Amino acid sequence: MTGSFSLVALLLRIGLGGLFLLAAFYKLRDPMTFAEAVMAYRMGLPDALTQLATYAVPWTEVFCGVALVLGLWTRAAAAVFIALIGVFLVGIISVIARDLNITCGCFGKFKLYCEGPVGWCKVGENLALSALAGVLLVCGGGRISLDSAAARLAKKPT
Amino acid sequence: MQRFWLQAAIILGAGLIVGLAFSLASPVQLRLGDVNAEFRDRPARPVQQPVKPVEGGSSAAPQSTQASTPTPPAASPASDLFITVEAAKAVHDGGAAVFIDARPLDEYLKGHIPGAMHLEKDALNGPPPAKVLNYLPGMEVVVYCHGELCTDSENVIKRLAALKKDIGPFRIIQAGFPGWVKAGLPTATGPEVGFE
Repeated sequence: MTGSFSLVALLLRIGLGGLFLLAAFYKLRDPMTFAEAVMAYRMGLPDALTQLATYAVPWTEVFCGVALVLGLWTRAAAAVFIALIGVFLVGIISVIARDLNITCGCFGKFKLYCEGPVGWCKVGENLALSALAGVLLVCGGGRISLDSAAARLAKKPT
Repeated sequence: MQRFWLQAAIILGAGLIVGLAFSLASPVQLRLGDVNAEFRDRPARPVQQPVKPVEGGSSAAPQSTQASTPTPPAASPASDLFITVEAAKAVHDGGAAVFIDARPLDEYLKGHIPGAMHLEKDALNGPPPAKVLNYLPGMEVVVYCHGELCTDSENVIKRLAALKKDIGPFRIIQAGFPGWVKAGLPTATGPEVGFE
């Protein structure tokens, strides 16, 4: 693992982890708006599940984001990141298929790249994020991470 | 590999457990039916009478004075929450309800139902605007946005009901503003008038 990759991995971790933390912040700050965003997808979820998703999604983003930023359990956190994005993608594609005119509800009023209603731009945005997380899933968090520090400690002769 | 799956399960499980705890501790308001049912059996009482909007385009707003005669009870089953454009026109002509446009301001300025108040859901995330407290308590409220694929009307109603200011009953024009325009009914442009 080269030093330059470690730097890239650090930037990726901070970028993706920070993005999840930002998304979680907006969702937890105004859970009603996020609940409405979930319901706007009209996935036929029972109220209890919508209620759970309103809080479980942002809290999973919090744990995943913190793990990525710290470089702790990086590969597992990247896998969770991709899994969550995968769930979002299913919702987005179903919205496009049903021709619903809704906004994402992903980051509150903050926009990452795509503007306006949910569409193919959002699919591309999510695929790009998944690809970046895929790099961390395959290669790990690099040297500047808690994973690496833990591995060095474990190898140190007593 | 086993450790990888265990770590992923811990991250997901932690999110689920904390999320479950929060959803039980502070549930969000999800259902609209209960909101309207709350007003179903309300007895008739004096309400604020809005001025009948002028046909042909100019805006008119409700008066802030109390009317001396009570209006008929506007209570109805929760299933009447969604109304047609024709029913909305009848309510509009009756002049006993406040119409609320839940669309973005720029769209409101380009065209809205005469006499409608502009009120987006985000305006109700904090302390409500003065016009909400001055003009909506005791009033039947008809909300509209972009039509059947729009949820902003529902979201405005949920927030208004949560204020517990005796606002309602609520109606939503199912076809929204596009349906109103399509039916050839009068519209107004420019800023709202009379909700100072």
